[in-house]
Amino acid sequence: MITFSNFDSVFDDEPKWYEKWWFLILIGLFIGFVNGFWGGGGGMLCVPVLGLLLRGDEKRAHATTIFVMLPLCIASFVVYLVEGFVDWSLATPITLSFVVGGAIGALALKRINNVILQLIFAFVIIAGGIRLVM
Amino acid sequence: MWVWYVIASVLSGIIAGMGMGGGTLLIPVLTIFFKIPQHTAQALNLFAFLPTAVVSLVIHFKNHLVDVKKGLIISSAGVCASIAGSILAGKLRNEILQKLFGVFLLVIGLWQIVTALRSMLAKPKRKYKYKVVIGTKRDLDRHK
Repeated sequence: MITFSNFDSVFDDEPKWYEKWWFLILIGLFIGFVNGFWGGGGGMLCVPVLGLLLRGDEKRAHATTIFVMLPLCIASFVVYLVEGFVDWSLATPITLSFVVGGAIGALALKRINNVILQLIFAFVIIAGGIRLVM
Repeated sequence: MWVWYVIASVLSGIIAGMGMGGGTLLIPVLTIFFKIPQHTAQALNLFAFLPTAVVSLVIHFKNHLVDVKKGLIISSAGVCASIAGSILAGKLRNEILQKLFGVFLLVIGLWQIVTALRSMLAKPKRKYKYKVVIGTKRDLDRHK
């Protein structure tokens, strides 16, 4: 007997519920609100969602996340700017160093064990969270 | 003093460049160690993201890695919500926003631990060495 169970995804052109446009709108609203309210972190939510939408293609998920996050960050930054929360004397050194670090990180990406790094990152974040909540 | 800013930002940039959310690291470093107000730190993080994002987007576009259609739908909804979120954040007092940010960090951190452990424990998914795909070129592209 021939079963086609292994080929389901090949012939299945019907979009899944998370591929419908209303889900994209909902997730966009959620990511946008989080990123505007906390000034960051939207990308961390966007990457796994896009990973699901793009069927596990991580490179495309990361690239599309930047495409999504750029207008969001510009929009929120303009609001913060209008409300007078921008300190230009700090913006220059921090942004320049952030750019340099970003280049290093992108180049080093392939050489480091990501899971260990993710765990270290998570514990640092949690320590910071506890410190801020206290 | 600014040397420490540089060190902190380079480290956060490295994490960001690896695609792990450098912003969620930069903001607490700025507020905890440098005593910068929460709103200012958030604005700084948003600004710091822009130049890197533009450069890497150009590269990604050249490599055809951006899904423009899905991206546009998500970001058009996101821009509206992010303006609302920013205005709401601006209305809150510094201490309150800082506490809420701490809660956000705790949630993100726990979630990161869960995903890290899951990817550590995950079994390799592929059962077969080869996969036969019959269909048009579009189907083949989708199932590379």
